[in-house]
Amino acid sequence: MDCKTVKEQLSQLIDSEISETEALEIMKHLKTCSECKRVYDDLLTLRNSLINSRREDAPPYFMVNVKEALKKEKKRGLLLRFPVNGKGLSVVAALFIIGFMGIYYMQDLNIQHEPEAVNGNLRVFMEQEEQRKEIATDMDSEVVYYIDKLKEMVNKDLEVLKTKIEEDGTIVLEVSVDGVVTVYYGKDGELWKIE
Amino acid sequence: MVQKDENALIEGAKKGGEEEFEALVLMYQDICYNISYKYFLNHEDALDATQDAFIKVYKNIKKFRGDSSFKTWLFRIVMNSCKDISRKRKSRIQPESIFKEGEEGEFTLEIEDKALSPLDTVIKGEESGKLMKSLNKLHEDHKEILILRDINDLSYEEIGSILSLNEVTVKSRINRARLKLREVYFEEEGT
Repeated sequence: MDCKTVKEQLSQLIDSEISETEALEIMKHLKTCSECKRVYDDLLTLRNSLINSRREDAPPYFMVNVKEALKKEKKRGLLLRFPVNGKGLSVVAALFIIGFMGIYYMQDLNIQHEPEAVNGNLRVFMEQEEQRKEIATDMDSEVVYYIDKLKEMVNKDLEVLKTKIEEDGTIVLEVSVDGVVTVYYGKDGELWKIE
Repeated sequence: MVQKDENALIEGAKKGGEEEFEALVLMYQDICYNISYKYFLNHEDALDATQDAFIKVYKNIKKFRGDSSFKTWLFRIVMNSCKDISRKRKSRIQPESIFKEGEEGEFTLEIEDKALSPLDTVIKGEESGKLMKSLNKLHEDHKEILILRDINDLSYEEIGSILSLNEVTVKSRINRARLKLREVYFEEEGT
């Protein structure tokens, strides 16, 4: 066995990822070739040093960071968690519609402020826009919150058929669980259904 | 038993269970952080990469079919997050010009001609810091495979699965990576 072949297989020897026959051949070569033996010793030492290198653990606040990041993601409305069967798509669509309707509705309510923007008070107008968007996003999050809560409650895959937000802020969820359609209501963190 | 618990957590997380997901984070946060830290050698990027990886896990856990182990799947995501962040912060992670070319076919025996002194003792303390710096100077392909193999003690098969490489490539890449590390380590020593 020549030096090139030996050096190509040194790591496999170190990691015991080589056949016994090949290992014996390489060992035989190492006994007679000081250069290859030196490379082998170095690789072994470097490998051992890497294995023994200090382990860096995640900081104690790591979980808090992850939770915060998830919260932000959810608030952005990017994370909507529904069953894998694809039926969740209709809910996503419904939430988008609710979101748009929410913004539209808020715009209607505040339409009297828009002339301020026309009159050059762009900053006030943009602040109001931001506020409207936040309100709409919060409404989406609330719907998602009650859907998640409901999923926990029934502990089964469910299909959300319709979602609605009443004037008093009550979230109405029409869902199908095992083929049975039920209407749930959510408000102030509570979730209930009318029998 | 642990495996059964892990499977239950994965299934729970797939159904949207926050507690199950958090339990998975707790199980793997340290090992994932260690991978990221060894990749960047700084806490800020390690934190970003690990956090980013777990967010991706949360978003995509329903796509995890169990074809590979969860650990393998997770480590692949961690590695990809490290690479993404590394790309975004190129100015900080600049491999030296000699490592820029593709790693395939790079294997030469130049090291034979260099007057290298043998490493007789296990490297400790500041020597370990030097070793980590040398590791960080390697080509990305070499660095990641040594982090997985030598720092996290993953099998060749697991590494193949994480990096989507066949066994032959894993074997040759590990060897080339170690030889390069040796070369860089001694270059560092010479400077």
